[in-house]
Amino acid sequence: MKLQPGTVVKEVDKTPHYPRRYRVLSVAQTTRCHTSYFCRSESEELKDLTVLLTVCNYNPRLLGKRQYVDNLRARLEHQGQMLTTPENALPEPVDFFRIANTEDVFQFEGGEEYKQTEPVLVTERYHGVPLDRLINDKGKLKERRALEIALGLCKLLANFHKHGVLIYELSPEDLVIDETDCDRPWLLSAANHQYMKSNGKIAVGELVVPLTDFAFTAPEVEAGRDSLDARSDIYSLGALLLYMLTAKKPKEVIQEGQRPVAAIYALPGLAPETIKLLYRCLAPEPAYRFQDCAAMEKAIVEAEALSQVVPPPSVQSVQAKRESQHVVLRWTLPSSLSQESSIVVRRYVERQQAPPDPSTWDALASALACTQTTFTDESPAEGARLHYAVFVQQTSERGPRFSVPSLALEEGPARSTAREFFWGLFSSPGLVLLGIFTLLRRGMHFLLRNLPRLRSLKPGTTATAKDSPRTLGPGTQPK
Amino acid sequence: MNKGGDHGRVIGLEFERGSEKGKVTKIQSRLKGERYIIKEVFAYGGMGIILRAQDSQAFNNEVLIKAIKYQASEFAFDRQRAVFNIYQFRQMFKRERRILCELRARGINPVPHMNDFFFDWNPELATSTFKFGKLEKEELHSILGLKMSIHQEPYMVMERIYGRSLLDRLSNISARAVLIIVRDVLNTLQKMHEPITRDDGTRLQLIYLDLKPDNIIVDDHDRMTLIDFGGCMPIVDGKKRKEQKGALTHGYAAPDLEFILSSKDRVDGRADVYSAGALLWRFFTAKDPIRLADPLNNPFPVLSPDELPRDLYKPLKDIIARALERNVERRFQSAAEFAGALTFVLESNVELP
Repeated sequence: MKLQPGTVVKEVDKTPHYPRRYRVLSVAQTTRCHTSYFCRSESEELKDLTVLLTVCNYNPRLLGKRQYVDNLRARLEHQGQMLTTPENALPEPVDFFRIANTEDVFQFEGGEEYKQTEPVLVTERYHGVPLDRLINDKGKLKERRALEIALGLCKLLANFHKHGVLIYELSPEDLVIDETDCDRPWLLSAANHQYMKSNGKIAVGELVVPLTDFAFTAPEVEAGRDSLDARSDIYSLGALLLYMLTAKKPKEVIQEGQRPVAAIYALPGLAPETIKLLYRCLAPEPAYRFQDCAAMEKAIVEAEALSQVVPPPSVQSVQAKRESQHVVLRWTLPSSLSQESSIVVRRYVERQQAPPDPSTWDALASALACTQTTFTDESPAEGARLHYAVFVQQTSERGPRFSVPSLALEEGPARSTAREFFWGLFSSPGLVLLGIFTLLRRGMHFLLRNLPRLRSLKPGTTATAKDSPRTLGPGTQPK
Repeated sequence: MNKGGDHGRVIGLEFERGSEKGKVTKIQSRLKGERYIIKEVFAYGGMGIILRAQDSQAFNNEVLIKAIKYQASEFAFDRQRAVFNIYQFRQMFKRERRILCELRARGINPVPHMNDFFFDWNPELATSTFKFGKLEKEELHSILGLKMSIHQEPYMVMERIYGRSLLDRLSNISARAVLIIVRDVLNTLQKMHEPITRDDGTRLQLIYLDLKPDNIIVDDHDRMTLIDFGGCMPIVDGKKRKEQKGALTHGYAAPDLEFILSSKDRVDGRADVYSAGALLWRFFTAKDPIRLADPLNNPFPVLSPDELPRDLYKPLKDIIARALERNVERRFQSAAEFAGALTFVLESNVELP
């Protein structure tokens, strides 16, 4: 059912004292199942109140199927019930009533007549942009922002799971990102939500046709398995996070027949914690995913904390610092990633006099027990002495080599023990030459200063108190 | 929003002395044609009372219904004054409704969403319970010349807000979370302070004036919602109306309000900046500014930055000191400026107590 701006929708069921009337202002969002409109109340006391009015969005080809129509309407009602779940990040249901539908023609098989009234769900209005529109306009989101949104959604999902509701599919068109309110995600619609069977609540009726293209659903949902639990929602959230980070649907990133882990590792510009997070969410088997929202929330917080660390300094600042002191900058990975069996990256930045010799790096790699090594020269200009070396340790063949652009920065003085310091001191030819030069200079200075006095000394001369023992020449007799 | 300590009789409701939420002994249990089924008293403040109810026509969704609280004692002694109070309270109530609609229209989400506003029967106001006698419409007109019906009590239905007031959470919340909450509050206030041009060409600003921990609701995810806009002051074309006094909480209110509210001087957003600084001062010193204030002798006590902990991050201490400047010109000149300074502290990744 479509409503034109300016139309006034009225309640059909007669309520003698308080009839509901809303004037349509504009279209807010169209999803696969429902269309939302911004409306203004026509009531005398609420003339300046705007709300969001949602009606069913029928597929014209399926209008002849009564089960489809009933199902869609039931889902709108169930969605209203779901929005009563205690959570501030949900639009509050304000009203639910029926209006006349004069537009759609329901011609069911067998010529069955049908009541031409349409359910209408009125909810609190939102301010923000639907996620799909946001990404279409601005492209992929920054990693930290995407993680913040994912964190908000993870908390939202945890709340739903506590009340026995599975969202089943987190689609970007159903989500509103409120940019004015610190990127607070609002779940606008959840047409495919189900109740967990373990919860014992009435499940929403079986779908005549799938109301989804399974772009953001878990494989077990697509396969039609009955035993769905919180892990299916976690897959969906991971798929949404991937969409925010790449602006591509998961099936565009992970090709058919490709293992998700390989596709995720090949993504450029992501922090390893985020890669790990995506891998754990998008694992095909539920057993390998995060087992609940609490575990995922913890992982997101860790990844977010990592992205809050001061980023690696710019090339100019590194050069300036290198000139002032000898510093070894080391990018280290958190210990949690080191336990990951698939891949470990160690990245070093050192001051080198000459381009690195591959044999040197191989030796170091063997000391670090790396099976494969590679190094890249990311010198900012010719003749610069800054070199990066990336060590990749792969214990399986699943992932390709990759470089990690931003990792935690650990900055400190050069690693040198006291023994190394003294050895360096004595082995340095410059220092030895400097010592010899100093000794010679002092000796010459002594001779030049005392030569006239030494010449004047003759046998039998008496040394005075002014003469220091150092000025007495050989053969001088004390008085 | 108070949840205890108050007592007495209000219209349609009766509380037990000192009870936490108020035991309802007499209540109009159903409102608006039996649509809203009242469950209990949620909270009450100086002017209003908030009831928790179920909306039977919208999935039994929980809602909050705000109504005016009348003190019985006023009705017993001065009939004319009581009628005037009814009029004044209802005007403030309608103003709050307009402000809430205005805020939502501006895209300010962390404020309660108003679901409904209606008039319904108030059984006690028109009866002789308060030795008030039946007050007819004509008689009311003769007293004050006002066009109002005493029988039609306004009720405002708002969304259910989950969480507790910041005052309740202050003892077990981290400093970083408080800074984030205050920053979000300041961003919300900044949007209120920014003037918008209305359809009739006038420019409207909203000054909150009553910022205190009681009026900030914080949920489990440390997200804030600003409530109670009864004392909010609309400024039209830079001027306030003479009769508008706003609602102040001594201790949190800026000292410059002492003269401004009684005159035609301009009130601006810097008054809210002071209150936000007082809120931070309250958190870091664990001293209640309300207790330091004496409404008669010392209504605007000095909140000295020297009382802040010595090991507090120095820039943060300076920021709070600047927000608490008694001279308006030395204070942060806008809520956005204050919020920006707090963002600097939050992004500096320092350890806070």
